[in-house]
Amino acid sequence: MDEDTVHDIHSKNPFAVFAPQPTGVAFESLAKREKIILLLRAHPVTLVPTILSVVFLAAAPTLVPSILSILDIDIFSSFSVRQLILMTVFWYLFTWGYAFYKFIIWYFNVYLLTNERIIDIDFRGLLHKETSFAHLNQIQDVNPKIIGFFGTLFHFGNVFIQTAAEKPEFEFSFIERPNEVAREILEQVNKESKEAPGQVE
Amino acid sequence: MPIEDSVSALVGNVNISLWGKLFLILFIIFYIFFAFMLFKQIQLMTRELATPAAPYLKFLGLINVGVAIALLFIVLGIF
Repeated sequence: MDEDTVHDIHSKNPFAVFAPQPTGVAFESLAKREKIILLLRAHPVTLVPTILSVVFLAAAPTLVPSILSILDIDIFSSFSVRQLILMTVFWYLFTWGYAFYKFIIWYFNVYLLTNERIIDIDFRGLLHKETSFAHLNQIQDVNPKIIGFFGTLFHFGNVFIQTAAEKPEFEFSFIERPNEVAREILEQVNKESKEAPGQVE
Repeated sequence: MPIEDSVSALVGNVNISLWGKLFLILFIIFYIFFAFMLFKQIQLMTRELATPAAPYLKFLGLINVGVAIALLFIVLGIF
């Protein structure tokens, strides 16, 4: 992908993992003339363990009666049909809740590059939310890395960003096209360094 | 009577479906709390990051809480 693709395309896909200039996206502290250049999420491959565990959880009710029969427990004589249906409904509610929770964590865990700063929105669990910012003129070094079999195969990796901000290192983890992201960050840093202090362009 | 005998007598006399009911009620109360926390977190996150999918996710979160509460009433009625 050449760099013009980042500047010419306006991503309309709300679930995109690599969204150049996404439409309809804003964040709380977005300044008036600040523009989102890139919105990044973890590559969908990182969701494979979750998908597998959800498939396992979804298949479990069909396996339980046969496993219990090995232990000489007849589940059908202990509970009425209505109770068994209700327990199955509970199980699928739990499975749905788990899948939805994992999806929400993935969906809201985003990295943003604007024409003014980089933003790391971390949503690690129900009770953990963290947002870190660094202005482009505080960025000192950008280092993309593609590691491992799956990273090479699906072209995703990490971008390490050293800053002079309060948080000294930002890590954009498991993002698609880390090299292009690093190049775009450096391009925005160069643009920002040519601007007068306080100017938003 | 040794204490082990009295415990096993007590447990043996209680219908298994009562234990099932207690377990399901505890589970659904926990789940309602979880679903409510998830909905609050979605609200917080959509305030932090507004996206075109945010209203749909909030709706799904709300449905999740509603279904969990409805199931609590169903389990209280059915068992």
